[in-house]
Amino acid sequence: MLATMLIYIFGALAIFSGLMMILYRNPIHSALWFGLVLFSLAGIYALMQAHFLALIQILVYVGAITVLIVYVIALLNFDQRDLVGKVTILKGIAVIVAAILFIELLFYVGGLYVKGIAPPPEFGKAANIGLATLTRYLFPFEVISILLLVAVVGGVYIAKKD
Amino acid sequence: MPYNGILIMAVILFIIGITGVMVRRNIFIMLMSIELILNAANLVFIAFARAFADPAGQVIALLSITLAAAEVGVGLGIFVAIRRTHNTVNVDEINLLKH
Amino acid sequence: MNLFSPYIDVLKIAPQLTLVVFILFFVIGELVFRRKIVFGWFSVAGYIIALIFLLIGHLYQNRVLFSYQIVEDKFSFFFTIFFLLAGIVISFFSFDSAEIKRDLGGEYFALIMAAILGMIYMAGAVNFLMLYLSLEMVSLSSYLLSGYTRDDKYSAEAALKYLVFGATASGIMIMGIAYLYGLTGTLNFSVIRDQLVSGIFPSFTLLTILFLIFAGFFFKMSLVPFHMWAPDVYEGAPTPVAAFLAVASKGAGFAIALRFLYTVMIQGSPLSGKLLSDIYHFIPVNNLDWPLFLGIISVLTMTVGNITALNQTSVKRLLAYSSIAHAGYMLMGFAAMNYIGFYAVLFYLVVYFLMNIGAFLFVQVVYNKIGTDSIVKYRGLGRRTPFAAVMMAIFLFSLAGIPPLGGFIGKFYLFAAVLKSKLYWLAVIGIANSVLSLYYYARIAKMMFLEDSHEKEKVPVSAAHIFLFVILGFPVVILGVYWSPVLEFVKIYSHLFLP
Repeated sequence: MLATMLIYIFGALAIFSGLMMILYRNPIHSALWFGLVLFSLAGIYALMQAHFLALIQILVYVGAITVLIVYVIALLNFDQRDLVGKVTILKGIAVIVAAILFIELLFYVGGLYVKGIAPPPEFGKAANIGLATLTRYLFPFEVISILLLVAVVGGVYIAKKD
Repeated sequence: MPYNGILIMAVILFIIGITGVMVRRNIFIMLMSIELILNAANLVFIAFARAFADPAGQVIALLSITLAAAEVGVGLGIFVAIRRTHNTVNVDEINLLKH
Repeated sequence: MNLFSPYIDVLKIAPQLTLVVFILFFVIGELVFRRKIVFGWFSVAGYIIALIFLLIGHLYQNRVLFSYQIVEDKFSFFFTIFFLLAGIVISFFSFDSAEIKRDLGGEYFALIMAAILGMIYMAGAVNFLMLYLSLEMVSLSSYLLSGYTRDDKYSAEAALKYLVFGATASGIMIMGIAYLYGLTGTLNFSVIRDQLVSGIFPSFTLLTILFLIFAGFFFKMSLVPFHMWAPDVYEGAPTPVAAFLAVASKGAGFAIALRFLYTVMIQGSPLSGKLLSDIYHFIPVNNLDWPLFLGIISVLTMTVGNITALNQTSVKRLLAYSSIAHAGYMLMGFAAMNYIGFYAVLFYLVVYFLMNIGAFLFVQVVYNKIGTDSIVKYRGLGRRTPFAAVMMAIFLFSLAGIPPLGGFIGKFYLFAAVLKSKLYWLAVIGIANSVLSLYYYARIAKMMFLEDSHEKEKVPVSAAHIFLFVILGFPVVILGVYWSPVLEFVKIYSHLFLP
């Protein structure tokens, strides 16, 4: 019961911070709200018996990605002029499309009937995930290592000054 | 476990992300909105992983987080290049290529 | 299931491992070698070694690797050859490209090779996890490649637009995959198929999920609601990269779409390795009329591509719209839903590979000399570079589908498939579009041969590019009169396997 209540609290926090993220004008503020979204999602993960992922979410997403984004915003020191976009017909269409998609998803997917079973207590622990990653899912794990190498090499190349 | 509540949360986060990409013109906020979409998908994966007691959902969420990190790295690298060439963060001003 | 089977399977993917070794070598070799062109030759060698391993290891038997992550069957064999050959051609293409000459180094060939590695996995993926990862691998390398000339405004802008569109489309797709996982409890194609056949799911939910997943596929194939990125990216990206994206990346999109639709979504049991029945039916999802749906997407794609191409002033941008239109033609083979349609798509991809890279190659040759791809500058090129201009004319008329050339035969089989399924409206619109496209292709040819300019200086063609013109151009001509070996080849290799 407490878990359910906490999930709803974290969920409400995530949605509120998400809204704030896209409403704020200054990208630094948005990035901080973004960190809060990720943090509350980590809370939900922990309550959903994904302890290892909750940890990874905090370490990688909040600790690395958000900090990197804030750092790059500060580093590049962009010209922040005229960031309030004008209201155009295109944006109106975009909002309408998003609203239609929202209603459709809410009706047809949000109400999926899920009959949950209680997983064993060791489910979601690092040992369990590690075993799955290094046996059944070894191949995707190896593929993603190549992907990371490519992203690092390419990212360094493209950001480098001549 | 309130699975339906979590699914609805995920849908709302997904739509916030989509709206952010389409409406906001600041490239950093667009990148963060894309990350929000990926997080919504991760939330769904983790909810169903628990419902089925299946580690596959958690593994794909783990790999998806890794991928998101790579994507942010690439994206920020491209932003640095944009800073060198265009000196703006507004995608409306980055429009040398004709429409 | 043997817990350690993934470790044993590693030995079975020698071609892919070769590419991985070469990627690592390029990254390290960047510190060692001073002459950058050496990497180009190494990369050609890498693709050839991978091809040799592929041909040695190919025992004409289907197998599933890494506990249902990827599959090796005739279909994936066809596409592996397709991508490796694309890699060789693009390497030669890049040797003498003025746009990237200064930056040509280990990173460039590593990125191209990583994209090709991802495409090979895309063609073999039988698991949504693998499909998503390989698609992202291709996407990330493509973003970086399109921004490769990093101090060029257009290139950086192309990379940014590609990143925003691509990341959003793949985000929508992963959301669909997440819900499909929730619906079926698995990411494995064959299990998903078994559950879909039993038809126990709420149909509107399934339809919504399928549309979300199609967003990712349509983006890679540049079909209509997700085509806006293509012209900007192709125009801004360096020309070899644009050719690479237009052919290899699009081919990979068609590979996953074909595999998904014809293994997971198909009714009956075509999975024994043969797809020989005359007409297929896809699993009914909320009474969606599959031929009508795919036909409408096809019509929209080819019409938008062709009409927008009519008044373009940049040849690269024109070729981008034309490649959108060609994706529409190929989708006709999907809409027909019969065996002819299936192998017609593969056959058309082979022809499209030859003629589209050839057309981009001519753009590169001209760009090297006069530094622009504006269509008015093409005046009088027939005199200034006769060989390349004649080859370009062959490619253009083949793209338009003029009879004695390969493009005509490719279109012929697509239309035959559509007519066999009695989709007459689709055939009529397709032919009308072909006629429309002739206008803008002929316009370039007219500029080159019939109009004169005061510039008389010769446009030089480098040795690597002459070699490419020969190996791309002659097959286009020969395929127009003697195409049966290639047709038999794609017929043999159009067999999918799902365990």
